[in-house]
Amino acid sequence: MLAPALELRNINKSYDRNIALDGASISIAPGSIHGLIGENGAGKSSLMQVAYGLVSPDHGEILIDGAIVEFSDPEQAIEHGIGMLHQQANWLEQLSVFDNIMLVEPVTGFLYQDNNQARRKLELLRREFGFSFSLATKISQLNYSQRQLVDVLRSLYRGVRVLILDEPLALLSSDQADYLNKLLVLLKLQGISVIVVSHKLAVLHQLCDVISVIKTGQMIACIDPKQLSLIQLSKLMVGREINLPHPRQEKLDGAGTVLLQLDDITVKGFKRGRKSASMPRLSKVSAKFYGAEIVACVGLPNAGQELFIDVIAGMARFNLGSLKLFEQSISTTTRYNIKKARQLGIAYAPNPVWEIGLVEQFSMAESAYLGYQERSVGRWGLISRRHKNVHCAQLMQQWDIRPALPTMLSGSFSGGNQQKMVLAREFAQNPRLLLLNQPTHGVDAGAVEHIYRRLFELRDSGATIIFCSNDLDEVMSLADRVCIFGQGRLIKVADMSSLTKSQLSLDIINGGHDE
Amino acid sequence: MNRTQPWWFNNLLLPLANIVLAFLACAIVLWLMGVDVAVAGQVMLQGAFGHWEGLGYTLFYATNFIFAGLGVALAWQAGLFNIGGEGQAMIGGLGITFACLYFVELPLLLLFPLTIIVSAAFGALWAFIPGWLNAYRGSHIVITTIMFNLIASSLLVYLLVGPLKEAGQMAAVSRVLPASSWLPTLDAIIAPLGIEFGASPLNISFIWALICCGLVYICLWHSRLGYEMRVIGLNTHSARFAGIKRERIIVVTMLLSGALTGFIGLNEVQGSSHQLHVEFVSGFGFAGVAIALMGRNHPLGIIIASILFGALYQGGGELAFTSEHISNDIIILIQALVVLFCGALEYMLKPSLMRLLGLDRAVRRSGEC
Repeated sequence: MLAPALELRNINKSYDRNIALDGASISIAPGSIHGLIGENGAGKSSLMQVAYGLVSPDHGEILIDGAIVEFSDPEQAIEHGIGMLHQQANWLEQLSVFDNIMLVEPVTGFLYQDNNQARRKLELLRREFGFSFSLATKISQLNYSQRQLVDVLRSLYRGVRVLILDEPLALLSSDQADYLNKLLVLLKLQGISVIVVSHKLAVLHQLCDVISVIKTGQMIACIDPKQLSLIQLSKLMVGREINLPHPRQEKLDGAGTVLLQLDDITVKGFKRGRKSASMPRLSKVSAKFYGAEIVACVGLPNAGQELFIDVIAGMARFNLGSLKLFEQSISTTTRYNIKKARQLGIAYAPNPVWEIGLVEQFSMAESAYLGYQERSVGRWGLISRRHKNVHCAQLMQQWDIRPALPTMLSGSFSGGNQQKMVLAREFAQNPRLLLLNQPTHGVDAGAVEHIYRRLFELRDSGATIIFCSNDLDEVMSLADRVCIFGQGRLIKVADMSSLTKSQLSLDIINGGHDE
Repeated sequence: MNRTQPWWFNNLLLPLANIVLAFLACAIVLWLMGVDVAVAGQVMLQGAFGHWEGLGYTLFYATNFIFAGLGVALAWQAGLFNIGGEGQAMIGGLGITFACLYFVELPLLLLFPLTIIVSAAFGALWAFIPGWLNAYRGSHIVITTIMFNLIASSLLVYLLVGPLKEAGQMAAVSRVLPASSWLPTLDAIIAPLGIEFGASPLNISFIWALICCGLVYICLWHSRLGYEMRVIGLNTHSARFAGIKRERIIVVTMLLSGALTGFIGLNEVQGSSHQLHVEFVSGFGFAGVAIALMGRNHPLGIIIASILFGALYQGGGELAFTSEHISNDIIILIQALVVLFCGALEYMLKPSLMRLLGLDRAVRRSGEC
């Protein structure tokens, strides 16, 4: 039998007082697709950071093809054929795909670099793996999932043999699922192993040859997904049974009153050069939202659903139309912003949370009142002691945010725990209208169950919830109604009861094309 | 984000090592000049801390550095690089001169609060225009504040050779302020207690500087304003999400920053020279950048860095005075080396220091217990 392409043995790693990895081991066979699952803060990301040389372990060994190696930085890991897709990749948006890939390559020539060979090689790889963008495309013209593919191409160019995909949200989104499948098969044929770290158990269950389960820094199982049902898998991970997909909870009978009404909301496109503005980003969107309901906004990337939420939240301005919020009329001339929205009883959890929803360099206690700094002022105009100490600790306890250390930097928490913190903060305001963008991004299945339960409770208390999600299973489990966006227009509003998942997915794809 | 070093590593050990390195470099220069380094070091130490008067001078200079450093640090927390300290200090001093010359009758107990307010207002005024231009018109704050230094300097020259010039006086200085407006020196204050402090210009504005440190600390880390300033300084996306009015906070930050720097005039004009010299700021405003850098933009760090710089100023002056080889420029040399090693080469020593201490592993093991 071949030696594993990558093996990590007995990895230990702790930060300050927090043990991230406690003797974790993983072994990746050549040409396999290996899933890695675990709850938030179980140590998935830490383990992958060790494999990629971002973090050096306290104890333990890294083996490549059976030989012990040591990395002190990612550069060395890359030389050994380890590649990783970044959640937060930095691109130079005004440069082409080709230039961005070449940026990190060493300069060989003096003054002039002959790039033709590299270009040929990249073009070959691009065709072989069927990437749709051309090498000359500017990064700014690519959407999030295409950028991740550029990252894959970059890894391939650098001779990757083990590719780590850490929560590749955009790639796993429903419209990309088929493509990802094809890509993974192609990678496999080339003998390239792929490690997929994700919370989307259903997707992994289908995709992977092997799945490893990590819990509190230890590897507790390594299983063949064909031998185990999805429910058994989730039980292994969380320690109790979780129904997947998460069960729906129907809303109570009787329509609520209209809480929010939008009439002909239009947001102009970006100006391009001297020519007139491009296509509007939102055009003539009218919709009504009632109390006690959950509405999903879906569409292909940049179809307008996220902007729609931003408009309601006061984060984006609209150019035409009007809004009616809790009996308050808002027109284009009204001063409306997110501060005003919060005063009216709107709460908003944006995406990605680590970029917008909190400040990574702040302690979690400080991030726990971001946006509500006015309400946290106590005596003498200073931030009250309760908000400094107690508030965050309470939220951490209620939402099981780990580690429960309010003084730890927000950026040191895992993505799922950051997401939970932002949700906890917004829930704590008892909103009448809750807006969410990718509400369970990076959150594990156990916590998702908890979040859904909270959302249903909030709805049943009379509030309206509007959310955007790339995850159709999430839409199917949560939403009472769905708004489907295509090219800036609201093309369909439907009751969930009259819609199947495949039909929904078809509607979304159709929304991307002109009739 | 990995926090692999304990807090004292970045905040104490590293700056300390950098300073030692700067002094070493300085010692080499002195040695090349043929100066006995050991003697020179002793002279400097003796001059800065060895006797009450020297200590007084050290703290007197430190007062200027504290005000300048606070001004830079406060703006820095909001992501603004205010290097207009020179100009803001000049205009602050001008305001104090006006106030002292105009309110001749006022007792010091009322005049001091008034001059505090006036110097703050004048300094803030000078920072307001660059701040406004940055917030609402997108002008680069570094460019505008530098230009405002030049404008302030020209303005002062114009006033001191023209309208404010005392008749029969050749130098570009204003009239001497009435003696009733002079800030009491600390040695005058504690003399009744029977303590002999020696005649240094150290005055009560030093106490005000320490109070300002406390106020800045409270503002930055305990108030809503400081919270919003820091959010803006760290992440503009989060700031927008938090509903923070970026433009307004930037203007307010610059006002506060300018006000703090404007206080230099209290110490120099009202506390020491008792008249407005055309070059009374003489680089203190710029030194504020170095102070803030060394003090990690934290009031406590700024106090420590200011006292160090004050000691360099005073000790270096003493050295230049006693040794014939050495001119006053030695102070600038030492300062430049400190800035070089603490600022530009801040993290040069970090990897080797960590390796030296075996810090990576040692710290984590202690964390496991």
